[in-house]
Amino acid sequence: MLTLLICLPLLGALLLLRRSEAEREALRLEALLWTLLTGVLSIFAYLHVIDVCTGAPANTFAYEVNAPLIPRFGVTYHLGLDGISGLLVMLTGVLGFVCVQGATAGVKDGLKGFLVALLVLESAILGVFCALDLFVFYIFWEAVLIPMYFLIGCWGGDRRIYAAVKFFLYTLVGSLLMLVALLFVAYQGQQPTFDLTVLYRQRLAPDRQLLPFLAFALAFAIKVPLMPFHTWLPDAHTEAPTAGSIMLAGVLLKMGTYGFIRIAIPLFPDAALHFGPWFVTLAVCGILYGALVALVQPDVKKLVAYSSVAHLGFVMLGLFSFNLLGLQGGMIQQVNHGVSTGALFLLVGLIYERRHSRQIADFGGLFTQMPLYSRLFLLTVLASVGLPGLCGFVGEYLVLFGASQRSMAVAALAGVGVILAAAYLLWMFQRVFYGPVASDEVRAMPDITRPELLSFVPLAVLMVVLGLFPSVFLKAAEPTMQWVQQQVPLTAAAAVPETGSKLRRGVAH
Amino acid sequence: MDFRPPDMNLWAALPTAVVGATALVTLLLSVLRPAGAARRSISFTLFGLALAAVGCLPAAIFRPGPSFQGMLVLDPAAVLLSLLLLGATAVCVLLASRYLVHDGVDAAEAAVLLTLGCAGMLFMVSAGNLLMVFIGLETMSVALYILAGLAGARDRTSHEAALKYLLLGAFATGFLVYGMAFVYGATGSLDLREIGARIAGGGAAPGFLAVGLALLLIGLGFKVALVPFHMWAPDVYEGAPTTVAAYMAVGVKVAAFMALLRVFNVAAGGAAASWQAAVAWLAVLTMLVGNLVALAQTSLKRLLAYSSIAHAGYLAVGLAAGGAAGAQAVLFYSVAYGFMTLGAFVVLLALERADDKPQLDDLRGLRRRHPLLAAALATFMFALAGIPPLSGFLGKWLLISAAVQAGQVPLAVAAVLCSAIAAFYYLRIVVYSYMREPADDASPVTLAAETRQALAACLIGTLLCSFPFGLWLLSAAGWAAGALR
Repeated sequence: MLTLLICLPLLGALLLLRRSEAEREALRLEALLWTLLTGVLSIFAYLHVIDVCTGAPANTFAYEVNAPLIPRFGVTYHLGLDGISGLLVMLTGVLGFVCVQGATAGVKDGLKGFLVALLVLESAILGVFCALDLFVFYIFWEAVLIPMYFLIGCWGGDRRIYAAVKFFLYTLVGSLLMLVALLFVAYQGQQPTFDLTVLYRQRLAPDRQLLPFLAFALAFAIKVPLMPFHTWLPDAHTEAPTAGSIMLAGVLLKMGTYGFIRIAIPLFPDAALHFGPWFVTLAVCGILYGALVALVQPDVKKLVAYSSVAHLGFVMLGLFSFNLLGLQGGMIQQVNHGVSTGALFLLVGLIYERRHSRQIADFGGLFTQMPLYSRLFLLTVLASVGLPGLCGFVGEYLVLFGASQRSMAVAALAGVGVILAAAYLLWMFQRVFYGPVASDEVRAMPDITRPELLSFVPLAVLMVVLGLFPSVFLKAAEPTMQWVQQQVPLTAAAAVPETGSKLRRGVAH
Repeated sequence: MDFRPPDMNLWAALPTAVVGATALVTLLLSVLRPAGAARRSISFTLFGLALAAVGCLPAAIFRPGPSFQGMLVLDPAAVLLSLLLLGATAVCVLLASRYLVHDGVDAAEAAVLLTLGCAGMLFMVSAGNLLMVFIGLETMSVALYILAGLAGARDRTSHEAALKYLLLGAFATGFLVYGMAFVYGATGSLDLREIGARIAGGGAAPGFLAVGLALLLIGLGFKVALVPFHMWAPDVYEGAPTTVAAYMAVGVKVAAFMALLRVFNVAAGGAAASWQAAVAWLAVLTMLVGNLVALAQTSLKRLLAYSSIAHAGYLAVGLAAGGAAGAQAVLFYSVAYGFMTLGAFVVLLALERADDKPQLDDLRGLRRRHPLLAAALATFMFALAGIPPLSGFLGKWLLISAAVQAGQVPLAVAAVLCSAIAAFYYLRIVVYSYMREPADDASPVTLAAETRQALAACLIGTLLCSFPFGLWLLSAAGWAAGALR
């Protein structure tokens, strides 16, 4: 089943290759069919996961496949879904459809290559989330780079080459060190093994965990991106075509946070605890820095990109609170961010196609011009800000609650981040949508069309469902999250005051 | 005195004999009946190479073991690399029939020389005795000295390349032979298995052995272009006709690395302490210098030359790691490297115009000028950069895992950091061919039938070495590595 899910977009990509460049409509429809199929399948898979994993013992996986791949090296073809990966798989499936439906009209040149890259990308991302073997995980993890590199580099904006190469090299350096650490870990036991579920049981001695943890954490932190490693993100997001940005923000970044949940924390819990305060500090810095930079961006897309840095800071803060509330909050927040930021990028892409500008100053008064579009935008902004009833609220609330149990100071600073988030998003909304109509170009902009609306619907549904029924999603992830939390040897609340002091130093800089 | 029957297992010599005979017959035919010799000798050579590949099969099935008093060992590893070398030679013969002819070279002549060189390489990969290593190396090198200078009528750098290669090659051979003499002095034998047994039994004089191994490392290091013995490589690659450069980058390196593997990893495995650190340092130096200098290249041929130097460094990581895991990594990487490098050179040939060495700028907008060629080039570049799921990644994974298994984590870290540097210039090639617009005067690219076939062969080879198909080759290499010694 999971093999089918991973191969479906890839198969679609191969079949697309036989069509000629000229048949634009046929190409688009065929790609749409494949992503729709994948999307529906991924939703069904997640529904089954909810069934299997809710209330199940830890490390119960739905659709588990486990076959030896290279027996001599202990490499297994081990795939499986639980409440965390299942949710991300569903998100990937949905966003794949959204991308093809909503973000391919702007691709003027080389549509075939674009769709092929998009489908290959979807396959690779699905593989990352399904893998339970480090070798398989690494293959998919790195394979993501190639299609994304082409998406940014061939169909991006003016500085696309710089952004593509920066994205590729930045990520590659991190992952290569992870490769060494991964091999180091695999050869620790009597038998080499790359199977995660086996590796969970062979814990390294605490002092030997530090370096491998740092190598893994570096790879994941670059992907997330955690604050000092975030510089590739604004470039990549801004230069990427709309579909690329949606995939990048929606699921690619989640590979990093997912890596922390699935690999870095449970495999090296002592090291994670040891370095925890650093990550908390960086996460809070990211929240505040991302928000402050977003506040002054004149470019809507860049604003959304920096808001990603802030939102992902929340996710990391939740994960490194090491309590169930924080972990669950981080988990759900990463999905929320995928939905709401993916939607924001989609919507920004739509006005860019109409106006060929993303400067806030070029707009104004859109509310009267594009009423339906504006309401959808407002919904997304509110979801992103964390209005109760929409998706963002649950995640931010849980994260703040979890963080406050560890350190009040941290939670307070993160709370400032929430306020800032409301400020920059709503201020941007006000400047773009209210006020007098800015120019004749704006006056000529048509409202959202029906196909565009269709691409937005799945995201809107997810926003509402995640906001109204979060417990369904949380319960499915709970067994694994509880288990992850138990792995971390939290003894006395020793780390808490230390976190506070480090944080103050971090902020003072 | 016991009587031993003459140990002449002909199966072991079959592939080499067929290749040698093919070369000689082609030569005779082209002299005796010059009319239509070009086409005939190309087809005959290709037929002979295919026959030799079939000739490897009995060896793979019957596993003859050491033959001719241990001179020839056609073990699975030798069969694997022989097949690769035969394939690479066939591709080069195919290319020579198209491109060397443009340089005013007689096609039959090129085919004969390429085939003779191949015979030498086959000797090297199945050598069981230091003398055989020497004979194979010289047979191969003499053919290559001539080949490097073949384009001299058109391009004077070709003469320069040939002379440089000859002088430095002869110099390196001196080191090699001197090293053999020392090893003989230390162990009393030239037979690799015998040397291994003496070292294991403690009967080798450690000082002499260390000096001998060091000299052997220098001699063979010249051939595979390990830094600091790499100075000749970029000039020779650039001056030699591109077909020959491809042949050198793939054939010589693979054959000489197999010889290194047999001498160091297998025979001198017991004395690893005396050479492992040296090889590891050479590996780091080679990867670092090769990759860093490649960053600054704008001539594609020189870029590939430095890239092949860097890859010698990666292979040396496997050598330094030692053991069966290291041998497996070297075997797999040799095959993967062979296909992807050959493929890159084929693309280069397709872009070459009359008297102009292709530059990075010539790649501009290749996506529009010839989409298939651009896709092939991108595949080879990502494979060379070692990005999963392509062949280069599986190879690097094996190499790094061998180094980690051997407890050489710093070496593994150095290898991955160097391959991150390498990604930059491989990516730049993709950037030029995919993301930059073609120049206004860019000529459309057309592929000749021979180029098309050669490209398809390299592409299929690379994909077969990639995940998931490459896992078969991976197990085969593991099996072959286990059967070494």
